[in-house]
Amino acid sequence: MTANKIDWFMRRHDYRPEAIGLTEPPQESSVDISSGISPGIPSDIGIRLDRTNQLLEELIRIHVHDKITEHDIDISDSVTYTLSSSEAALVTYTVPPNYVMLLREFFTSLRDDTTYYVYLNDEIFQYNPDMSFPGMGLAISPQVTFKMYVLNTYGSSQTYSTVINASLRREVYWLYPTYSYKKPV
Amino acid sequence: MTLNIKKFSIPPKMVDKLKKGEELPHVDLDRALREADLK
Repeated sequence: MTANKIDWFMRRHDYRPEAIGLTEPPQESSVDISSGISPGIPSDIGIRLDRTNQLLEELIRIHVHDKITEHDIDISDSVTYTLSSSEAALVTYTVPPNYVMLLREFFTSLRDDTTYYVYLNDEIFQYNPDMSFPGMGLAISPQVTFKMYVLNTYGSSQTYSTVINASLRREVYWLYPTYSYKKPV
Repeated sequence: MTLNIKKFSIPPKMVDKLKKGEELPHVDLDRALREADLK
């Protein structure tokens, strides 16, 4: 459930403990309200009737509250490799599931800083050490794979290093324990 | 959460194109990588 959906949920159904008059700290409950829930009534609400359809109690369960925390993880990784003449390397990095990546650096350097060619995603760049790639500083969606091709167009072997520096951010939603509120009848 | 690397050979004519300043389509590189995998 996204933050927006939770916000909407909380506005539409104001089941905060204080909003429903619950002054005591909520207690965890294992009350089963799966029976007696009428169609069209949110699954968070249930009623229990006696055999003569007298309302015994009204139960409200609170499943989810709002947000939440953010976790940032700094990542820094590099790989060094030697390419012979006319050899290429495909260097990839995939943003892990559930994370958004804030990309700071993704570059390849050559020992002598000579200009050479790299491909990043669908664009080609004649690389020099001072350039920035498009996408720097932007939030990258989960599971997007960056691809960087490094081509050795020299007549001899060259050693390259590809470096990535970024932050991974994960939004964590705390699920409150399930509470029940028994409305007096 | 690490960089992955895969090496492959590129056809000499691709290198020649680059040296002439011609752009090399991204798909050509993908194809070269696939063909290298098949060998």
